[in-house]
Amino acid sequence: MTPVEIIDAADALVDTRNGRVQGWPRVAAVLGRHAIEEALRQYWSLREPGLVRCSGRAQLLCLTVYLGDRDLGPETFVAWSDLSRACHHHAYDLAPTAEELRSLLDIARRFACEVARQIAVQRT
Amino acid sequence: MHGSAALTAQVRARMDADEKLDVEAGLLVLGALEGDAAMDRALSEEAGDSQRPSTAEADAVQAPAKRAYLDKISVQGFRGIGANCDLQVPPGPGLTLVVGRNGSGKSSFAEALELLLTGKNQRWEGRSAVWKEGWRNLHWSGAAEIAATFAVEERPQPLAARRVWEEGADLEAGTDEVDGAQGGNSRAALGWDEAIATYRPFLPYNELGSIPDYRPTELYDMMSAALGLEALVEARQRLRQQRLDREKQVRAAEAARREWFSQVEELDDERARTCAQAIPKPKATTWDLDAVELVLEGALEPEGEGVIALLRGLATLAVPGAEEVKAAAEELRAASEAVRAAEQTDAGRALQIADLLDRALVVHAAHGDQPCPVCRSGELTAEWRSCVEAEVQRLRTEAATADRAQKMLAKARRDAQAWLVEPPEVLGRAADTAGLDAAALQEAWGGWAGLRDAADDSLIEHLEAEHLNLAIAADSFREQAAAELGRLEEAWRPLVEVLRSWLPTARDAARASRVVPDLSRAEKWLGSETDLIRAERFGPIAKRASEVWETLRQNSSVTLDQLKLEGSATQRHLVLDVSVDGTDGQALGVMSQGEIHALALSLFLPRVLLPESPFGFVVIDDPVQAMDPGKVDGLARVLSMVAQERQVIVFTHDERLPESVRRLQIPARVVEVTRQSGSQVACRTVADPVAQYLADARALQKTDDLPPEAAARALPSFCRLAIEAACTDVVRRRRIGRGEPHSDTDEALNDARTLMQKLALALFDDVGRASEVLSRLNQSGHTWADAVQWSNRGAHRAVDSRDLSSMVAATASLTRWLGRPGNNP
Repeated sequence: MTPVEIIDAADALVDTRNGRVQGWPRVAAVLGRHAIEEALRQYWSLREPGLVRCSGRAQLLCLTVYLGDRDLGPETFVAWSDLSRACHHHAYDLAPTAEELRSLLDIARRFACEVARQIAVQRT
Repeated sequence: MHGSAALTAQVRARMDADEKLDVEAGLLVLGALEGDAAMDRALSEEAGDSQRPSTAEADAVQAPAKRAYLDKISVQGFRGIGANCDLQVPPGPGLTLVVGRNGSGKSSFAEALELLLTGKNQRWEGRSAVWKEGWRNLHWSGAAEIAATFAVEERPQPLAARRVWEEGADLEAGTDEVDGAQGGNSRAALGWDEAIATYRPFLPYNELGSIPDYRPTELYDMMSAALGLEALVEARQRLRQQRLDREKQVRAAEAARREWFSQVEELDDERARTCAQAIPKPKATTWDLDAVELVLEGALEPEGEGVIALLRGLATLAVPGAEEVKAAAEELRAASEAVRAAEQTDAGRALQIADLLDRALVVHAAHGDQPCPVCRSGELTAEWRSCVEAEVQRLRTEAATADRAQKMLAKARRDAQAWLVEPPEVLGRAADTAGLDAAALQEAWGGWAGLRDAADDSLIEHLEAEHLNLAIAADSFREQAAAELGRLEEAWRPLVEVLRSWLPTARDAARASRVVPDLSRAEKWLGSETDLIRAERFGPIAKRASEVWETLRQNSSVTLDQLKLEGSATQRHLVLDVSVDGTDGQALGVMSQGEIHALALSLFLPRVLLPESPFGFVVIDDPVQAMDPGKVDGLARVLSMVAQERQVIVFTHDERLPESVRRLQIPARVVEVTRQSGSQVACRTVADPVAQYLADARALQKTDDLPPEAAARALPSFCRLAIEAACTDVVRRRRIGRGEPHSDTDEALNDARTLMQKLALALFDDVGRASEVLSRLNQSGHTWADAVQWSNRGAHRAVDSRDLSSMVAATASLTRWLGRPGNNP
């Protein structure tokens, strides 16, 4: 699955029309994070293969420097952090809401699309 | 009104036991308790004969309320909920936690229930129109509906209440239905109208926080409403009103008396004096109104000793009539002339001669003609006989006439003398008693009566001459008496008017004034009994509130020393004696928001637990907010205590309360509310997080609603979540169990960022031993280490989908092992 395809699947979970998956908010969050990390791997393979082995945190910090879009890097970092929180168990936290997920997945999609665009540009 | 029969019975029992309460006041108390009509009856009996009414019906024993438990809340197109969504809860005592993020729609259920049962919502009270118009769900265009079903004890069918708004209808324009039948007011149909205010089975978040904003009077009302003493309070009010009405009546009559009393008192009139003596004092209780009434009816006069009666007599004083006197004089004159005319006749001699001649006639008749045996010269012959017979006739007539004239004269004289009466006795009192000048009449009368033994001619002359004098003197005297009488009447008449119009009100006032002391005693007695009963009934509430607070306060330095209802009327207030570190004072001011919530729960939960409440459920909206984790444990314990007797439904926006409930092993059902796009809200009952994550993982294996590859990507994260949750549970239970502060425990868990660190904390109670985790797990002989590594890896990238089933199974057994109680380092 491409990052964008993963995000499509996550988005579908937030929308009622696609039935109901048990525990959908966390499933969507997990998929959102998967998509961002998958996109990150593709991006670094393309731009700076050495960075792939670094921690996700380091990769995301570097993104701010490498990515042409000034806002998308930090936004992606924040989205990834928020999604990551939902991927871990915290005693007092409930899963994110549909609204939260929608905005996080929206950022993830923009990032994934940007990566897909850059890969396409590279190939041509 | 619920329970008022039992309350009345209780008051009667106290009444019978109380020797200080007299029968009159007791009857008034009973009347007041029964209602306005009975109160009036008691008062009229009080005024008349007082018979104790039958007390048979008082023995009603209060049956505990038929309790209703919530079964389901259904909401559609209302607030945060679009398409219809049901929140199902197990009916009956127990704890249900409804967990959902803010905006998930969970509060819409609480609001719907509250709106359905109270007709208003605490949150919307006093809000702007904009807020009130925002009640419709934006994602729903059809009719809006809120409904709830209740399982009611001894009711074969559940009770269904429903409110529907047509598309576009205002909040106020909803129509209510109960059990499918349209009714104007579902609260009234449910019979909960009063109870809902009294026991308030809703504790919304903002109400919990507003304790410091309530005035002591409001707190008093809130707390005492649940005691169900309205019947007593109303009865006392009834007595008080009756007393006030009567006192007003009495005051008015007394004031009226004051206004004219001096006039009555000062009037030189025996009637006025009698009245003044009958109502001598300003106090209505002392009045003899019957005496006043007798005076007004004129009943005073026939007794006749007084001035008025005397004057009445004098004004119509009778003297011998002129005609009669004149006739008597004529009569006497005629009789005396008749006597004079017959005076030539010697009636006796005439009769003797007549007798003699009769005898001679007898002799002649027997022996015939012969010489006269008397004179011896004459001859008794037939001629002689006829002459003598006529002579005898004449002589006898003459004698009779003379005799009659004498008799007539004697009678005429007596008649004439009879007119010469002495003056009447009343005349003698005229001067002294009525102040009249009677001298002229006395003198005239003396002259009139003084000539009784005079000769007939003088008598006739006296009668004819003196009567005129008497008549003239009498006329003038009568005029004098009438004038005096008129003067007195004129002074008296206005007072008669005043007294006549005053008398009925005075009678009412006198009656009222006799009842006032009874009413006062009844009122006072009922007041003090109400206080006693209130204290008696409030005792358990206060005790329970203290218990709740003790459980809730945990490490708080604030203690709730005293909770009492004091004062009455405008002085009533709730004594809320809280102290900080043993120092008395206005601790409310220094309490944290969380402590205030806890205090509010302490105050409000006990009334929910009163046996008289028909509500088996209590809905608490977000009590956890602003509470620190330590207090949440206290709250969980309190809720568990309440849940033994009631169905407790708690709406909460985070996992702290469920976590605490799980750790303390309090039986509870947790319902999770989530909202997808288009306000599509769903409720599901969730297990504890570990089981839930595993269940979600297994569901991912089977779902058709997700591309298989996406499901496979998500699944390892759920295994990892399950392991993390198991670690968290172990660590919290262990550390909090050995008395470490919640905050320290939470900090330790937060510091353990990675899965290995969390496992190290769980296995060795030492975050630093993460490197030993895998070898420790490998010792187990299970594939737990593989599962841990697999789930860690799969959290970031796609893994081989062939491993899914075995890894989920390994994760499940690992979490079971971690959660085993004896599994401590």
